[in-house]
Amino acid sequence: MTRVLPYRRPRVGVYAEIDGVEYEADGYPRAGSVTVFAREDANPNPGLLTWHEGMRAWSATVPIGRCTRIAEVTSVAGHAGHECQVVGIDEYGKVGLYYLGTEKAALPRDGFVQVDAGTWAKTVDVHDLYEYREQHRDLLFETWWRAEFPQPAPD
Amino acid sequence: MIDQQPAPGSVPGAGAMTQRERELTARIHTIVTVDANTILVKVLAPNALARYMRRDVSPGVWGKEAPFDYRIVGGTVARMVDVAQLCTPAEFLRAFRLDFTGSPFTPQLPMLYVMELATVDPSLVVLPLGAPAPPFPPQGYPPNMSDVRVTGQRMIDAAKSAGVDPNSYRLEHNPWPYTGTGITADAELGVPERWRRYAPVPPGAAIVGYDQAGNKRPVAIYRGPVTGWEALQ
Amino acid sequence: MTDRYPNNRNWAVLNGVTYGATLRSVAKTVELAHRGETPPPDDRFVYNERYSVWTLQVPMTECEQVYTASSRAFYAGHLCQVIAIGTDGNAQLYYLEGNRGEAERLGFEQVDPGTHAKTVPVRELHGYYEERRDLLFDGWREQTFPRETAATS
Repeated sequence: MTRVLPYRRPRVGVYAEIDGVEYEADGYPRAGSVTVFAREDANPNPGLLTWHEGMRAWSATVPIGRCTRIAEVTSVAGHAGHECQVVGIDEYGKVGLYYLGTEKAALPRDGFVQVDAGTWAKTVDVHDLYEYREQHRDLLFETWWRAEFPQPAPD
Repeated sequence: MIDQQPAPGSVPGAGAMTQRERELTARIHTIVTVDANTILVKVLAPNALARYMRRDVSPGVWGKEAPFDYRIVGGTVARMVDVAQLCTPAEFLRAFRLDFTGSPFTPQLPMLYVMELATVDPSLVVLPLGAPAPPFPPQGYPPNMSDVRVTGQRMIDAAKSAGVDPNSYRLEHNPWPYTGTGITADAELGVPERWRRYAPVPPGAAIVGYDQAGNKRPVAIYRGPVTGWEALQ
Repeated sequence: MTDRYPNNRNWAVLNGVTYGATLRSVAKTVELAHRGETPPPDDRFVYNERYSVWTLQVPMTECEQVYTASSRAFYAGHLCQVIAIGTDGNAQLYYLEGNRGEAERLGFEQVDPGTHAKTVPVRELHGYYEERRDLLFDGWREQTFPRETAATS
């Protein structure tokens, strides 16, 4: 089956791929399972998802072994020489940024403001970004290599 | 003293230590470790609770309102076990040195909100080590930048010498009251700090409030990106 | 080499399905590839029997996503690109940071100008992730938020 959803920028969240289809998850895997959901009007996969009244969404909790991929996704871009996370793009092209780098002393000069402990932020125009990309932290990588390359038992 | 205002041109924090002191401090970080089950705390800006509760996702308004996304949390965090003795807004402000330039925090806040969350994945947090640097001038670097870099490298050397996991820390140059030692700059209430990437809040995370009398009460719990934050009581 | 990891190539998502992609930058099109005898859902694909691959060329803008994936991880605290993972459990890395002296101290060897490589056990990698460079972003930005042009008198 396929599932066509408009691609929205920026993306943040945990995403799981089941039977070749990507779903958003309600969080990181817990106790060997992951809960996925879909918010379309009609159930996009009745064989997998059922209506969850509390979430008001179609949902399923599956073992992580059922997933070919589970990734934590964030969106990043460059601005004025600084690597930043993209936190919202509105309909006017305004973009929220959180600084991700290691030279916070350079930020006051470049218009960033410290908004809480360890967080420096700025709102800029979308045309002032470069190298927009997503970062997908693969949450199954360690499980994969532990299974693929088990350590030999000590003699 | 680690928490004193720096003299102009000096490098405070890690810069005010001998190499032996840096190594002893670094050794703390072989004991103060974070695993998947470690509970972390994040002090929230005064308007953050309302924004989390109304599921705000916004690029912000420059100079007026910060960007925000109710599904994520990040920045400076500490282990809950290391802040267990803190009870009032003033104590949290001291421990986390929330008196930075332009800070929205004041000791008189009637209620200070803190998020408590499981680490889930230790690679989400890093230990910031290095040295404090003055804010950069419009062009070039501060006059003492070479001293800052030398101090930062010496702090990294101390971490290597102490056997701190190299995947757990990174070299940072940040404005004071950042110390570069991985411990916040309060001589009495300083705590080991970490920096969490702006990653999804794990379901089950809670927001609690501390009032001026030192009472702690639960305020909200996170149910996930679909349901958002649920008010308690 | 293992099939599943790492991921260092171009991909495109068309009607919810992800395909390997070859970019035709000048024409701003992308050639999609689907391996195996079973046809993909889109009946415009043409089967190439010699290479056992279905292919389709479409304008990039017809795709929901077109991206370049690059697999990365930290080794001894330093960011590297993961080039390959062998069936022996060893990962080939390229050092991505700017400190050449540090790379050599860690045992990376220069294999060509600007490239330091090392092979390490996969269990020594930390924080594995994929970087996906969004190749539709610039076009989306120009279309969605056109820059105001100065009025001419």
